[in-house]
Amino acid sequence: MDRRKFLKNAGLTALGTLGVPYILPTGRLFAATGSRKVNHVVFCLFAGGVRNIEAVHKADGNLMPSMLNGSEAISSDIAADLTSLPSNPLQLPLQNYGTLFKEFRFDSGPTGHINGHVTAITGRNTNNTLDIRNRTQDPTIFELYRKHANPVKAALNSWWITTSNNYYPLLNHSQNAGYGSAFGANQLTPNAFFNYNLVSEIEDVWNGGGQDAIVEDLNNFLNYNFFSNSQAISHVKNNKTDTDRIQDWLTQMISGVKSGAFSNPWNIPGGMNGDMRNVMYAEEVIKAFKPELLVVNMFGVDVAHTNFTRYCNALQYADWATAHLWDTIQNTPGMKDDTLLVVMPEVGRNGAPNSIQDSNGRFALDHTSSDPTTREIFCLMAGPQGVIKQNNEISSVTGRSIDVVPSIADALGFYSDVSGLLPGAPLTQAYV
Amino acid sequence: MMKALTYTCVILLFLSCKRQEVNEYAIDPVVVTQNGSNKENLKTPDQFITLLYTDLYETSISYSELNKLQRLLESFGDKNVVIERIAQNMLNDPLANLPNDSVLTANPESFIKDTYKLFLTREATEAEVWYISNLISSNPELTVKEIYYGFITSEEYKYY
Repeated sequence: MDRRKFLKNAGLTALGTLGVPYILPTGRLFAATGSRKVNHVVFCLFAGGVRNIEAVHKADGNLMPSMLNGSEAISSDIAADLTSLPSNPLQLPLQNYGTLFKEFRFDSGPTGHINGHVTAITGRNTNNTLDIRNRTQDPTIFELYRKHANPVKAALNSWWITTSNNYYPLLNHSQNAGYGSAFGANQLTPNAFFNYNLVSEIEDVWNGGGQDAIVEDLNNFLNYNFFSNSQAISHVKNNKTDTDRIQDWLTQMISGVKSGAFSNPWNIPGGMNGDMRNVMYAEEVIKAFKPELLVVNMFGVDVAHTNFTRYCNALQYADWATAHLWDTIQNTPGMKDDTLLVVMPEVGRNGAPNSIQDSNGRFALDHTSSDPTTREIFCLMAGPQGVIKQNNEISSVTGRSIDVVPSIADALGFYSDVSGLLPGAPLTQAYV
Repeated sequence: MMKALTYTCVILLFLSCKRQEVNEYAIDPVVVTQNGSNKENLKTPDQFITLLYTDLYETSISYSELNKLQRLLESFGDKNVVIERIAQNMLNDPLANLPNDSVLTANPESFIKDTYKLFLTREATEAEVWYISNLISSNPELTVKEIYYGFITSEEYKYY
């Protein structure tokens, strides 16, 4: 046997060893085979702090016409300052395709954005001891999914698309010893990564050509002779095949950025905002990889701290982008009629305004833990007929933000394996 | 009186002068190497980029360039994916300091030893030199750029 063949066989043996099923904390060899309700879940964190008063209560008219039924007129004092967006990408508002929990609650923990995100993604409440510079101790939905789904899923199946690099990228996996980076999601901050000036730094590549096989041999040889006992926290890694797919996709995306294809494909007057762009790139991930679990967030409405009218405008943008996201899912073969979309703000906003007035005389809104209105949010679960109740509206106080992770686990068929880890419960009210 | 003063000055002058011994050592350049098995520290993304840039351009990376590459790395969870692209981009840059491909046929052993010192900061073992020499001689189309890429994307290069 020549050396190259030997190394290749050694590599394959090592890979085979890695692929051997391991014993789960539950003592079973494989994860439980729960019956899946759907094969894909997209969780849209309608984040930045959205008050139910402007959202589902429509106190200033229907500011979310692409998601919510109703044609309530926008308050005349702010209407002129709101952008006139294109018509709804959907035939009907999004709530017609699912169940709307109008009185959902972020029922415990500080009402900060990071706390809200951590709760939404781990299914656990936080407190004032949350370390906002490090990864959470509790496993994220990505890790629960990748470790407990059967068969165990590759990283390419799970994506975390974030609006900014400020803490949020760390939510793609926890530092929990039983989970961690080996079960984390692919994380992408597209608004930064696909910046026109930055992509020049990674544009000139030769993937897929030349002497790839020989270089791989050399790389395997170098790695075969190296071992480190380092305990450093590693990062998410894709296997070689999936890495090649991601590289090909990045090459296409960078080419699109350079050609201007992603400048304003939705034809938004005045251009797309950051939330829309983030959702647009999440849609590109959906089209390319059809992930089983994708979480995407928004943040534009947080302008409410200083400008109420601009907050209402950002709410419209977020609404339109969410409807567009559902439209893309329904036009993606493999995900159409087989995807659960969960939409939820991470926190609400105060009932009492602060002292900052905008040009229309409206006062701005903060989000502080002492104001009970900040805990009032909504949740929309859209999904296939026969799985999710259609055009169903629940107006009583039902559901908490810690219930979303169990609901995703339930939808993807592994809730029985993680139920003991989670304080919340699946939102069965949404299911047929 | 004048004579006495002159003698005193001459005596003080002699007393103030002391023979100074100058120790001079001949210093030969020494490459500080590290055994691969002793590399226990994972380079941070900043360290990785800074060292990669220095290794390829033989100069320090500018703040603005480092900032751009840091932002790219922060923005993508699988750092290997980004590192692969950054490395290829740098290796394609005509400003990168790469030996001419002719070195692969002219003096492959020397090239391999230098490459180990450059990227892995250690001497290559005889077995390593033999294996890579063999790889080069049996694949004449292989380039310096591709061999460098193999080293840059190796696990050992991620540690110090």
